[in-house]
Amino acid sequence: MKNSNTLTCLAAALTSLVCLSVSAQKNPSLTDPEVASVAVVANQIDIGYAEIAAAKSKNAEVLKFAETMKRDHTAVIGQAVALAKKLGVTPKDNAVSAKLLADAATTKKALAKKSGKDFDKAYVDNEVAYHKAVINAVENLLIPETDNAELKQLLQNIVPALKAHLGHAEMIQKNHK
Amino acid sequence: MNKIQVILITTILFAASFIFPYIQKRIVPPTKAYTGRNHTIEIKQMTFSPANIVVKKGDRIIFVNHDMVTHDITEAKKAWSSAPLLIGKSWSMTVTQTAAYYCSIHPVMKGKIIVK
Ligand SMILES: [Cu+2]
Repeated sequence: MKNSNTLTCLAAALTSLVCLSVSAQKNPSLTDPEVASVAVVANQIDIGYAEIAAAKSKNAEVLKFAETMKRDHTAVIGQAVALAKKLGVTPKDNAVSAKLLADAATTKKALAKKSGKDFDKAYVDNEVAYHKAVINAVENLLIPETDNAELKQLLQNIVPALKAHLGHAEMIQKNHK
Repeated sequence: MNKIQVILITTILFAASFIFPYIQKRIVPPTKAYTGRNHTIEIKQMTFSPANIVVKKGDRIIFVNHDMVTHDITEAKKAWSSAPLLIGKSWSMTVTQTAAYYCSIHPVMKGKIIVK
């Protein structure tokens, strides 16, 4: 009897712990102007990384990938900005976009210190990690937080491109092992 | 066979050689050589749709980019390639043989043209 009580108690404690950690990780709530800002900033950050790669890498495959990142993320920003304008939404800075920018500044510093094959590896590894994080943010934060149907649709349309970029980065990662 | 009969038959055959093709042309529709069908492959959400297509030699395939970004169509061993295909643009090719292709901008995008 005592044992089963202990177990029940433990289960309850575990449950509350799980609940706590879930509520601590609960997504920040964002308005549509804030969602638009996060979307634009997330794309700009990857263009920033691509520009560093274009300046530093000498590997044809890496350079081609960086070119694709710059081209695609620029196209996406263009469409996001055009839609925001059409909807009368002015992208608004917020905690999420600020956090993205702060993390990107740290990563850019780390990339700047590397060269040659070390740089290529660091850049491609970061592209894999960054695209995974952005896919997760778009699917689990931005899309659920968006009220406007057209903005939601645009975000949904971005996901396949992000996934193709991730697949491309992973392909290069394998080739450079 | 007398002379008149020979002349008559020759004349008939001679006339028939002109008339026959004419009659044939009027009655039987001309059986032209196969000039090919058009097929459309749509590019959307980072995929070629359909990704596999069965066609006949001489058919034409039209690729239309309905995606958010630029793509291209490049044969697997780079035997042929389109130029970068901007959003909303199309590019067509006449099929000569079975081929695997991909997008050189996004190498995870692949497709196959099967000639049957
Ligand atoms: Cu592509």
